[in-house]
Amino acid sequence: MVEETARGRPVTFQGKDPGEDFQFYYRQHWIRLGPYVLRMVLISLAVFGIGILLLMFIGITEPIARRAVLVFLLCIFIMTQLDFLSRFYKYFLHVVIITDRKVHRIKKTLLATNEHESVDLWVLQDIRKSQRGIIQNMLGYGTIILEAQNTTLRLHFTPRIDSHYHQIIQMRERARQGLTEQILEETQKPKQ
Amino acid sequence: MLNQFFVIGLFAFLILVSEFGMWRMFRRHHHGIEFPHSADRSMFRFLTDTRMRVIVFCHTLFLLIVTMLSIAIVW
Repeated sequence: MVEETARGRPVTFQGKDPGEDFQFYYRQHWIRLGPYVLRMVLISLAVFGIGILLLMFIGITEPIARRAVLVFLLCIFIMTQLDFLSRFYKYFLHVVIITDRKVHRIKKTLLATNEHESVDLWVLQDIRKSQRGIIQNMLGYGTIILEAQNTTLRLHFTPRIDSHYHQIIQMRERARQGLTEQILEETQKPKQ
Repeated sequence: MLNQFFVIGLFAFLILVSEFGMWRMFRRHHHGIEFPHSADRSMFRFLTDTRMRVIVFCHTLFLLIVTMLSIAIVW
């Protein structure tokens, strides 16, 4: 979800260093929600179908049995809907943020998970992208793998992967250039 | 009739509490990762705060209507 915040207002997020400048961010590709949408629709249709079949066409004459079946089907329907809603919220709480210095991956759920992984751009040794299968190539999403000396950060379901891949490479080069300039400035200071 | 209204009330209470509770938790976790509109180019960029509230409200209403109607018809 996006807030209609005023332009020029500094972007803040969990784990941001004061010196970092926000560059861009993205959420996972919408296909991530696909299986959950499908599951929710199928279960809801099945519940409706079974309900209509049992309660309307076949007809349960015993009132207690009829009410028990109705309550049971309603419980399944509501649980399915709420489960989908929680997955929907979870989708919005998973964000990848790229600043001028770092790549942050913030992954939260409503109750159980609160993860924040970040890796410095200038220490990245290898940046790879992986698109496997027809669907990934058709819809233009995939996995970006960021490898540093001791850590590997995998960014799954990255949308518009080509664009993001090149942007991250550019950001790494800029971060390295900035660091080199900073080191040169610091080494030149004592000589003056 | 009392049983019917009791069951409708119970389901309505559970739906409202769940929807409101999940929304509150979402807002609490979401705070701190808010962005200017221009920064988002995803499929869901149309989802502003107000529109998200409308969607959640409509979903709650949908669940309430389905529950009430099915209990009213079948009970």
